[in-house]
Amino acid sequence: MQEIELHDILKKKLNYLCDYAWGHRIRWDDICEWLENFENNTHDYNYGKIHMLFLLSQFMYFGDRELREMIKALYRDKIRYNAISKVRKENNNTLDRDVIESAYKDELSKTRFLGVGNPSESGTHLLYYFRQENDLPKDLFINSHKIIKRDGQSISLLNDTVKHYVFIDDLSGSGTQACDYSSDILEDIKSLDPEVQVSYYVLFATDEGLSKIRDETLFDNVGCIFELDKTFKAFDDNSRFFKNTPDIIKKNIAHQVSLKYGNMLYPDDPLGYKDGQLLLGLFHNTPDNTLPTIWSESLSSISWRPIFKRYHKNYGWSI
Amino acid sequence: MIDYTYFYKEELPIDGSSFETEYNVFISAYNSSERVRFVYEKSQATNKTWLVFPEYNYSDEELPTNEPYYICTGNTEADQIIGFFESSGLVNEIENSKISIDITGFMRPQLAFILMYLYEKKVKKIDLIYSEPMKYKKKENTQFSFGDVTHVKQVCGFESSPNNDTSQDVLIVGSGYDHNLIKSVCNHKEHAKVIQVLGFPSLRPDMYQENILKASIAANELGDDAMYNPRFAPANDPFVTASVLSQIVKECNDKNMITNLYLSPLSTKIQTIGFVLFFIYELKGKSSSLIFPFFDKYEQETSEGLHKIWKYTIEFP
Amino acid sequence: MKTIQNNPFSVVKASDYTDEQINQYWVDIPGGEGFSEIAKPLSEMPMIILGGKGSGKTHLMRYFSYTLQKIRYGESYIEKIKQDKYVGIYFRCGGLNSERFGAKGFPMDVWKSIFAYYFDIWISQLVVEFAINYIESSNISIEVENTICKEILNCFDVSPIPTNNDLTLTDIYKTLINQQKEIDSKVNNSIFSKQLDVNILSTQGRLVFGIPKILESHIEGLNNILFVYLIDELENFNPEQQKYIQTLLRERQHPCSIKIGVRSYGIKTYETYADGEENREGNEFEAIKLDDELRAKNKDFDKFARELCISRLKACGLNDFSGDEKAVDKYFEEPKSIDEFGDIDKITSGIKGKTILSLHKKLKGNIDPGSLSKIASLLSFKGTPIIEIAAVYAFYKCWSRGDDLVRSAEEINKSYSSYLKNKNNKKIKEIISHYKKDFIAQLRYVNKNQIQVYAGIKNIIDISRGFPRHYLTILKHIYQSSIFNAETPFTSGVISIRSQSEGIQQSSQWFYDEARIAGEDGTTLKNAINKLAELFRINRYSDKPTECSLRAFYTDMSKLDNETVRLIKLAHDWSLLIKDNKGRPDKNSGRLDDKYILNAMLSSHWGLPIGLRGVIHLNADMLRSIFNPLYESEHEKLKKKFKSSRNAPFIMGNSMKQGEIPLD
Repeated sequence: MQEIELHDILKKKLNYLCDYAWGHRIRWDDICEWLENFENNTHDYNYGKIHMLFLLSQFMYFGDRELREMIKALYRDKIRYNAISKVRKENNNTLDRDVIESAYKDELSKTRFLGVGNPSESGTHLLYYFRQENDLPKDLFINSHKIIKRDGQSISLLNDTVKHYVFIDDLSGSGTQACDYSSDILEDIKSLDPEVQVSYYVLFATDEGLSKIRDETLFDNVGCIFELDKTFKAFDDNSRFFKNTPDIIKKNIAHQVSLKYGNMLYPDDPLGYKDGQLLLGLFHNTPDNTLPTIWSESLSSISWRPIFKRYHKNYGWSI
Repeated sequence: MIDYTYFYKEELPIDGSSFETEYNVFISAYNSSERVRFVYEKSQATNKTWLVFPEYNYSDEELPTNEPYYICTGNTEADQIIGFFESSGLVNEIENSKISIDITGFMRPQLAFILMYLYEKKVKKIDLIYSEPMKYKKKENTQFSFGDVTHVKQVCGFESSPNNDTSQDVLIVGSGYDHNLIKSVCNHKEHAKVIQVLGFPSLRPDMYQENILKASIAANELGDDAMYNPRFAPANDPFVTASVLSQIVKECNDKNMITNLYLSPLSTKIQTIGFVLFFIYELKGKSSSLIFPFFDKYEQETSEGLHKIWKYTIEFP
Repeated sequence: MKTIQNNPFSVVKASDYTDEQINQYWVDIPGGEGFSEIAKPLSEMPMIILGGKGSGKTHLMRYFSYTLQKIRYGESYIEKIKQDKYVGIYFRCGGLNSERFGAKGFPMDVWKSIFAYYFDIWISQLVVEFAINYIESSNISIEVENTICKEILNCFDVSPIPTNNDLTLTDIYKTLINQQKEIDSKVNNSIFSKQLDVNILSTQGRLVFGIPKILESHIEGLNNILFVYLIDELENFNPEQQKYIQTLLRERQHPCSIKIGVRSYGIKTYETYADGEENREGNEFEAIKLDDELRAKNKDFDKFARELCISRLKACGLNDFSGDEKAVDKYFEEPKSIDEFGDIDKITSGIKGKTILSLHKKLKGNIDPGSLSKIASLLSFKGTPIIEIAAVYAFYKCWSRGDDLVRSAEEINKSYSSYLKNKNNKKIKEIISHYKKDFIAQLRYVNKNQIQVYAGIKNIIDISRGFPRHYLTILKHIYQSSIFNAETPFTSGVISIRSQSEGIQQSSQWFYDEARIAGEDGTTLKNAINKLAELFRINRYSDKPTECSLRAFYTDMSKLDNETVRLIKLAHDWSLLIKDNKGRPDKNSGRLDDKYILNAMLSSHWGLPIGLRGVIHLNADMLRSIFNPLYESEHEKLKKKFKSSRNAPFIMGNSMKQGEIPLD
């Protein structure tokens, strides 16, 4: 296949993605400007731009409507289903709406939802949509400082009727943030009442991140909507993005180009935080586990136009 | 009105232990995949049978050697399924039996019909099992059919009493990867307003966009409204699917009373269960039907490995 | 200037329109009586309206329906329908979901009767519903209405309800619905109940023709009114069911007429139940092929297409039209006319250009290096790539004849150099005039940074000629591309050539994909079209194309096997091929052969021309290797010969006739 043919195919694919999946978030002129970031060194015949265009056509972007669906799924699959199932089994498999809803309401009243990170971060930001989409009462949503009451040296649970704390997050890449954020609070909760359940539910998680959280925290339940195994790493040996590709697309070229510019843009992690190598963007932000060539802005050393911009946290944590 | 999300669903173990529940009857559609074989072996039932569907074109040598099987015959899904139940004698026992069906290898019309058949035979509850593969061999190019669509028709048992006013006809399509099927169905009911239901959350994160890209090949047939304003139902939850369909129909009727409603589940088999459940609970006897594009041959196996096993308990009205 | 928020062309299918919209956006075809001239609503002779998908059948039929008549005429509909002298009763065959009436363990004879009765009940509901609606504004008395009802019940052999003096048309309507529901219940449950005891209460056809007669005789406004049954989507009925419709058509009674809308491939039989007699065109019915009719309209179709575009834009609030019929043209960037005596942007000519480099490659090994250099130099016309490629084309012709290569190059150089100066060589002028578009396509193709250009409103109309829906689909895709390319279509600036080419390409891909859904022969047809288009493509991009602007072939169909004929006709029915009804006389025998043209919607997919000029003869061997899967294995060899005869070093020899496939 000639490069111009592949170029047209990818352009058409991106047209459809932009129209039907990405909510018209970007257009072709944005893509052209982004491609201008890359050299097209025809002497080496490395076809840099076409490889970057190819990578972009593999990008997974989840917009507002998709995030809302995922948030609904998180609540429904992780919280409600299990609770309803338990209620039915305890009541002779009843399908009586009044019996079920009344028991469920009671169960829910003993649950509290929290975000991961401080109130300005995306995990907490999600809580607003979580409440809205699932039509939940405001008083079920609290900040972490509302769990423990500290009175001098003594601590106690602020509300001992609460039997389930659910932490909500949008993405867990390495698992570091969830581990760091929750360690103190979980120890306190469990020390005060080991029967209290603590759960961590996230929209996207790498399998490494999930393992780390399961191994290193006291969360009773850890789950996600979408699990990202190694095949979601762009340049992994088993990368799913390079199966059945046209002949002129070579993974090692795409890798080299991404690394070359990644080293200029984000030298500590040229392929994304903790070598994330993700091709993932969310409506509210692009995680830094994603290839920096996608999200980085200009630095003093290099002028750069992102295609899915990232809004940074000042303390430089990953999301 | 039933809340479909009250129904039970659970994950079954893939670690090798047998499934806990014991049944009187276990049925599975014969298929070369390891996941189907795995479920067959782990299921416990007094009466276990493979159904061999002619569309898969298995040769005699490929058929099971030590396990009971029934070769389905007949031109329609109804002939095939009724033929099995009547010739096996099960038709007299099923009302009071504990039944489990592995739907993984079933074709959608046969799956739909067997559920309707069991409902008509007054079965109250069935456990349906579905196993997700580790991966699909051809990724977004996975299709379960090959060959041409020969015709589009109403699935037996899901035929409607049509309204001669067709001005507010609605076609709800559960879009899958096969754009030819989407086109066939949309062309068959060209006059209807189309509502597209996408499987989201999808089984894997990349499958959602792949699904959209495939559907976009049928964008002219689906229409702008269906493409820009799709509805979503999880790819692996029949109960939420049924709820979403119920909600869609209610909204349509609130705006303009639907004259004829056509449902076409072209996505996952799990979603197909959802379509069937919604039909049985809310649409029977009305100007509504399940339509499906029919073709001669099916791919014998399109996947590798075993990722998860789901059990859905269907409770009929 | 107002910005258009949504795609003005997203409403494409007739079904996407409400009845009000059909009325609002109706564009009649100019000339004569417009579409009335085609559809002839006042003709009692039944009509079969055939047409490919997208030809506008449904749109046309709905336009002539009572619902649209009423919307058109508002409160004065009774008076206006009297003036119209007809009333249209429209319905879709697909609505009956007729596939239910078959199999399930019951014999065909049983289904035949049930279906016929069901159909009669269905139609009767529509007529009675019309009557109820019609008399709302008329002053028909209760007694007259009651009389009508009694007479309708008399059309039954066994009345479904008792006759009484209180009956209204609404009662009749409900009775008919109940009859239908009863049949539905029995038919749909028969698979479980294993019973099918449907009571058939009337003789076939009595209700269909009887009810309009009753209405016409009793309702003053309907005196001498023709009841036109507009039966759409006949392709949804199986052959036995279609037989019943053909029977009704044959046994049609006044005051009824029947117009059937059906896809070109959709007629499964002309047989009837009248002793198995077949209906014949010209006797029992007249047939029109709608897309053929529209194509024949030429300039009228051009005007119609432009009006269609304007009406859509107006509906989006864009009223910036001066009344000039070509007002819409200005929104589309026109491809610049390429001067043969000038240079072309991004196309390199001369010794280092692709044309001469390719020539170089082909001559290498066939001639000594010195002569090669000389020839390359003689044929190089730097700065005038079209003259250059024409010269090289002339050279290839000489080569294929076996002429002396150097001398040929010298002569060509002389005449083309002179042409460059004086511009007055008739033969060269003719070559360039005929092949210019092909030459430009070749130049774009080999200079890999070029897209093939398909643009300009005239080309868009030509591509979709005969198919209004294809036209709107192209505009829809163009609009979509234009927005993606960050343009502001129909608001400011023009829609670029690039956006138009991309939109046309996408439409071409869509149309090509349509072939796959052509029923059981879908894959076979798609493969056939692939092979045929590939031949045209080989010709266009070859060193020595034998025909210019080629996408048509002719052949003696009597020499083909039945299966090949069947598939060619199927390709025609699916509008993948358009038949030129004028045919093509064979040069030698004068016999009139059949001529088929590849639908221009497919041109972009293969880089073929939109315009049509040349036509090639394809013999039986080649055609069966293209269409008939049994002979597929022969195709590669034949294709190779086809290609070799058009490309240096022309190893098939010099005795080949133009367009012929050399035999072994």
